[in-house]
Amino acid sequence: MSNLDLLLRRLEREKRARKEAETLLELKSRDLYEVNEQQHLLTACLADQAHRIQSILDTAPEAILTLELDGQIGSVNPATERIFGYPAEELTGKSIAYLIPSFRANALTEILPTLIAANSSQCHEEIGRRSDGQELPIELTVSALPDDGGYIWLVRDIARRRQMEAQLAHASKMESVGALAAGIAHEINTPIQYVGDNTRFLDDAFQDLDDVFGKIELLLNAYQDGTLRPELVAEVREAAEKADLEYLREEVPKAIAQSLEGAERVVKIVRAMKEFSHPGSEEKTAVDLNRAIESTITVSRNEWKYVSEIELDLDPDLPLVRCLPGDLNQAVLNLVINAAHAIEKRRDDEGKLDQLGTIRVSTRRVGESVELRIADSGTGIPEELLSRIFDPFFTTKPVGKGTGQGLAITYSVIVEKHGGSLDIETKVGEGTTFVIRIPL
Amino acid sequence: MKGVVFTEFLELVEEKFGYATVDHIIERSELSNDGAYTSVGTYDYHDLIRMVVELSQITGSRVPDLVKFFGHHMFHVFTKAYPELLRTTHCTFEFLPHVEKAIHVEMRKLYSDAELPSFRFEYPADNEIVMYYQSTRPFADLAEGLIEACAEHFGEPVRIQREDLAPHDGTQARFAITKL
Ligand code: HEM
Ligand SMILES: Nc1ncnc2c1ncn2[C@@H]1O[C@H](COP(=O)(O)OP(=O)(O)O)[C@@H](O)[C@H]1O
Ligand SMILES: [Mg+2]
Repeated sequence: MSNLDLLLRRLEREKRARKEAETLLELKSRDLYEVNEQQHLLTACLADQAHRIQSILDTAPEAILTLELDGQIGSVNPATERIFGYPAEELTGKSIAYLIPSFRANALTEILPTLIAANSSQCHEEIGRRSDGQELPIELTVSALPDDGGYIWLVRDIARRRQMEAQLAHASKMESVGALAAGIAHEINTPIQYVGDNTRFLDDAFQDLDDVFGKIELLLNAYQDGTLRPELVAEVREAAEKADLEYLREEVPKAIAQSLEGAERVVKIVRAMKEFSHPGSEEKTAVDLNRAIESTITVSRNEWKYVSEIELDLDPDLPLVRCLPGDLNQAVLNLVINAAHAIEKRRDDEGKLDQLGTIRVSTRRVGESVELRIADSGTGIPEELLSRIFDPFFTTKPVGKGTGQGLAITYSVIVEKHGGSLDIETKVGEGTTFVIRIPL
Repeated sequence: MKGVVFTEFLELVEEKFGYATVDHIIERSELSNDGAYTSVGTYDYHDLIRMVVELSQITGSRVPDLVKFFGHHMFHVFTKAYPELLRTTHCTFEFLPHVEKAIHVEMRKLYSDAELPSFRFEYPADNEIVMYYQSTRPFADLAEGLIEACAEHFGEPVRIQREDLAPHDGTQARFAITKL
């Protein structure tokens, strides 16, 4: 074969190879076009998703922020602007401490692991600061973005919830006044009843005496006119005998004394009620704690008298204490009612239905505080419940008997509103003592 | 098998034996596309084997020696086409794992239909590396040639002990490479 032939064949092969390469190129272009097309669809789909996520962020009532690893704010949603009162531009690049002053940069690195670990299971409460300097209670949930991409912070403004909690606490306070009302009515009813009975007796007695007085008048007139006859004297005697004057002279003063006592009892209860509820005392006033305790014991008598006796050991030299009387009474009442419930429960558990327990309330001064102890001979509190009994809505009682609000309110009154302390000494099967201390 | 292997093979034959030999082995090999290869195409590897066998008959060299020799050539082709490969590695013991980890991986991006062998490594001693070659195609000889060329490139004298593994058809082999 000649060289020319060989070269021609080679040329032929090269041409075909080139054509094939061109075809392959076209196929690749086509592939590329299709891939590109799919890419477009995907991009549109992603854009759509991004749009949705954006509108979730835009309309979420919670502030949602992204933070860099060093605590700098990356991006914020409109709720952040609204809650904190800053425009987004002002926030990006700032430290989170700008919004939550307690998170100074170093504190942040310490607390972050805890925040993230707690995540959705527990919310962390903090105080935020608005652009106008106003403080606002917030709740935080922090999660770490993958690959060290920083953090997502979810911040809830809980001012509204706090308000609702306060309303609820108020409602439950009203509820307990309401619950006491039936008992108080019962307490008032008994003395009123015998005031009524005695008055009816005096009414009858007066009818009888009225007859005697009529005869005496006739006798006196006859004596003046000089027409006195011995029969008239006999008539007076007869009337006096009929009226049983002897008996009346003995019983009437008793009936009067009893009525006065009943009226006094009612007056005492009404005064205690007034003192207990202390309408309108939103400011701290100097209060005689002993007297306040007595009122509280009085209005709640119906709640404890069937299960317990009350022993009072009140220090007569106790100084006046500056406090919110209405709140303080409520706090003591909650403890007294819990004590009565615990005694009742123990009595039922042990089947000793005719035995009364004891609630001992004592006051004394300890250094620069006053101490108030409410000790009961009830069930005691098991160790494992101690950490939970102050939680709002924690109760071991059946529906209707417990709302779980009592100790939460007492705690908030003593510790938060009065800067005092609330301690528990308890032994299962023996009883519980709540020890309140309030600084003078 | 990627067309680049075919075009480079034919170029090597032409360079060493002239285009008459190229024409001859193409004529005799009864190839699926009459020898019109483009580097970006993909062709049946049996065609390559047929051509090597024909070349062996013309030249009297053994097929494995020819394939190994071709491996040397391919190493230079590859490293010339992608010079940056040699900048990131500095010796045979670094380069070989790099092929598995990076180079062949890059190839798959360029040619999604590439069918590449896979390697596994053992390091029994400081001066020894063991490479297990595994493929769907019988090119252990090619691998050996590539390894030799690689060591030569780095100027490292090595001893390569090859052991063919079951099924003993050139698709599985163990290369124990010792620095001398
Ligand atoms: C010394 C190191 C290397 C060894 C031992 C090696 C080994 C091999 C072997 C044996 C084959 C044939 C196919 C098979 O056996 O299944 C192959 C194919 C291939 N190798 Fe490597 N190779 C090395 C380095 C490289 C480098 C540096 C490149 C390119 C930058 C490369 C690119 C390719 C390509 C494109 C194929 C063809 C794939 C196909 O047929 O679809 N190799 N390699
Ligand atoms: N004096 C007490 N003795 C025993 N347990 C008590 C006493 N006071 C409170 N507890 C326990 O603490 C729980 C929470 O009390 P509280 O907050 O007042 O809610 P409630 O009385 O509605 O259950 C009670 O359910 C009870 O288990
Ligand atoms: Mg209670």
